[in-house]
Amino acid sequence: MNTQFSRIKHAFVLSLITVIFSACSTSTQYGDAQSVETVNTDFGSTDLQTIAAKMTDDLLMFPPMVAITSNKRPIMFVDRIKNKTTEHIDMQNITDTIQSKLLNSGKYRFIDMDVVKEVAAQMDYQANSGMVDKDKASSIGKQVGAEYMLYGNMSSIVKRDGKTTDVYYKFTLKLLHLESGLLEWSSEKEIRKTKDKRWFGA
Amino acid sequence: MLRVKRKTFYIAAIIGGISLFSGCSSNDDKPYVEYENGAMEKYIEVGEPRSRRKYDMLQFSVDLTNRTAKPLKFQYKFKFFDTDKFEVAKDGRPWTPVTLSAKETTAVQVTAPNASVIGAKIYIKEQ
Repeated sequence: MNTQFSRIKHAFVLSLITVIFSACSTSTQYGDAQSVETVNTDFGSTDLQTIAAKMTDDLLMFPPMVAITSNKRPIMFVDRIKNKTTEHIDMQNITDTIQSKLLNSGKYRFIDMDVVKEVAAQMDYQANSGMVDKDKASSIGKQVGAEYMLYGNMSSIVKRDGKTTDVYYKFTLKLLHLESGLLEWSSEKEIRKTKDKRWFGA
Repeated sequence: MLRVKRKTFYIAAIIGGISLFSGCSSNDDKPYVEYENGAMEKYIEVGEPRSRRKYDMLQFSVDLTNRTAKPLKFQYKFKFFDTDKFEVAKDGRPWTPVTLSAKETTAVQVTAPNASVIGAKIYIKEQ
């Protein structure tokens, strides 16, 4: 009787160990970077990609800008996007994607204000270090100034009750003509995400 | 919410062969739609695709209608192609989630990423 009980006990312990180990197993796999991500209601990759696509589409097809870009490539720079949400969001991620899409459209050119110091240092090296052939050095004072400034902000409204979280994001992007101070274009993208907590099922 | 099996919930509505070089167009340039999986017709009706060109930029629009009497969740994605049928701006467009009320129609619109694009495909699948 004792032997039988002992066998059952061993079998139970072995089963338990198997279950624990199988439950702890992990796997890593690659996925589609463009797929819809709904892990939680925080700002995510789908939101970033959707905003960038909407902003780019709107600007590329805005009639006055279409007319301007039909025979020249306006020069822009991206000012910071204000994050008015309660989340930590890397806003440069969004503007980088928008900038890349606009650049690759062949319609716009950009001045990268993030590397101004590095460019100045390189120009100084070429002009004053004595290491660079003067005839082959980049000339100082010939850079082109930006004509337009891209800027904007992102805000959010978050509401919660016991089981539901509702998040509303609004991203606004504006294009300002530097010389005239005119706001030439503006676009908005709204995103609503809702999460329901369920105890059973999914 | 209507749930549809992923395998059956997948079509590619092809707006291709749109020879809109240099703004010239003829009757043969009309966009057309091909269904790779007829089962999709049960849930979503894909309308006549439209395209327009502003200078050298192309814009596509497709009406998607929920055929069912229940709210329907799905996602769509556009891919773009140049004259050599090479995909342009690969990975440039995300899957975009959409929710349609019963019998609702929505127009999904997209701008070609650059002037080399002459055709697009829209893929639709379950959310």
